[in-house]
Amino acid sequence: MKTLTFFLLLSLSSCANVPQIDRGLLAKRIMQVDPHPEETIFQDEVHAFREGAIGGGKAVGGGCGCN
Amino acid sequence: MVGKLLEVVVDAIKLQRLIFSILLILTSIQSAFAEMMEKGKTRVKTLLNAYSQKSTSGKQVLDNSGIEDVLVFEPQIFVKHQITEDTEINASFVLDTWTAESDTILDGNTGASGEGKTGQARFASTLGARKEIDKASYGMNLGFSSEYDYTSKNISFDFERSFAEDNFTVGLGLQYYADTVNLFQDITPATSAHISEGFNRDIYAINLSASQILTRKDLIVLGTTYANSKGRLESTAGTVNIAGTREVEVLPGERKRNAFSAKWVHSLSENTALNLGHRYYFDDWGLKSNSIRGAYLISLRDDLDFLEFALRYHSQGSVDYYKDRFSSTERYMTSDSDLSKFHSYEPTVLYSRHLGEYKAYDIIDVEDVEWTNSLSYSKRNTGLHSIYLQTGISFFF
Repeated sequence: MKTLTFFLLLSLSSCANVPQIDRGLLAKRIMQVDPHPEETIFQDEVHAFREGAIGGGKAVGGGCGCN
Repeated sequence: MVGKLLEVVVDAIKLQRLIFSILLILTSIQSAFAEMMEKGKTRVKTLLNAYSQKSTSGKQVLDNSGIEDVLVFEPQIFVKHQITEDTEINASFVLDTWTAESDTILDGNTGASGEGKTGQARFASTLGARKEIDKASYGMNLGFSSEYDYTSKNISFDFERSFAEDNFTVGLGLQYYADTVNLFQDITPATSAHISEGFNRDIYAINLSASQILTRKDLIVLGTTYANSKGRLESTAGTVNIAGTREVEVLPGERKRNAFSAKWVHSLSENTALNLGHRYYFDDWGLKSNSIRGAYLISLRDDLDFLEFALRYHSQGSVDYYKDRFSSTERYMTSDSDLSKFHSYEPTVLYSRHLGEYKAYDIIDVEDVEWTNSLSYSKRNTGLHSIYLQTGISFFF
C-alpha cells in the first residue's frame, strides 16, 4: 500500500502539464500505450497460460483450461 | 483451523483497506477522459489467431515422452457500438479449436505418442458496456467460456479517470472468475484414467494503473496486479513421476500472485517511437519472474499504417513444488514445464495497413478498413518453441 501511494503521489507531483496543443506526437498511433489491443489479448493469454506469471495485462489466469 | 481463519480475516481487512484507499484517491480527482466513437457508429474487428507449439521436454507428460505439442486456431470477433454520445456497448466471441498431445495421453483417444486429440473446441463470449460520466469512464463486462474440461463465468469492472488536462490518468480493474475444472484421476494404469466432474476454481484480481504524460515525447504507465486463485489449481492432465510411477500432480488450494509493471513510450522522431516495458512478478508458490519487452515502431503513410518490431524476454524461477522427478510422495508435487525454471525470447513483427473505404453490392459500405498481420516466434532454453500468427481486419460503419 505504501509503494502504491508513493507511486501515485510521485506521478501527481513531479510532472508539469503538457498542454493539448503540444500533444501532436503523443496522439500518433505509434505512441499509444498499446497500439494493437485486440492482438494483445491473445498474446497476453498465451503468456499467462504458458508461463508461471501474470499481470500487466487483462489475462489473470482464469477462463481457460489450457492444458 | 483458528490460525487459518484469522489469516483469511486479516487478508479480507487488508483488501478492504486497499479498495477503500483506492476509491478515496479516485473520488478526489477531477478529470477528463478518452474520446468515444460518434453516436450510432459500430466498429467490428475479426481476428484469426493460429498457435503452434513444439516440445519434447515436458516432464508432466504421462508416458515420459515429454511431448507437449499444441496446435490452436482461434477466430475472434470484437464488436463495439456507440448507442449514445457517452455510452458504448461491446461484445466479443471466440471459438477455439485445438489439438493437444497432453489431452490424448490420458483419455486414450489416440495414444500417447500418436496424433493429438482433434476436434476439441472452446467457446467464449463477453458482453459489456462502457459509459462516460463527468469525464470518467465506467465499464462492466460479463464473460462465459466453455470447453470439455473447463467452464468459466466471469465478471469485470473497470474504472478510469484522468485529470490535470488529461496529463494523468488512473485506472482500476476488478475481475472475478467462477470457474469449474475437470481433472483426470486414477491415471495408473492409463487405461483406468477417468475425468472427474466440476471442481471449483475461483479467481479474483485487482489491477491498478496510473499513466502520466511526462513531456511532449514521453509517456509512462505504472501498474500493479494482485490475483488470488482458490480451489483446485492443478492442470487437467498434469502428472508427476514418483520413483517410476506416474501420479497426478498435487498443488496447494490457494495461490496469491503479485505483479508490478512499468511502461515507457518515447517518441524518437516524427515517425518512430520506442515502447519499453518491464514486469516483475512473484507469488506465494515461490515463483519469481522478470519480463522485458521492447518495441520499435515506425509510422508510415502519414500515420495511416505502422510497423512494429518487438522483442520480449521472459525469465522465471520454478515454483517451490517443482521437480523433474520425485523419489517419494510429497505433500505438493508438480512437474509442469510452465512452472519450471526457464527463460525465453520472443521476437514479433506486426504490420498494420489502412485500406480505406470498401463498398460492394449496394449492401456493404464500410470505412476505415484496416488489415493487421503479426508473426511471433518464441523459444525457451528448455527446447520448447512456438510460433503464432495473427491476422485481423477491422472496419467501421
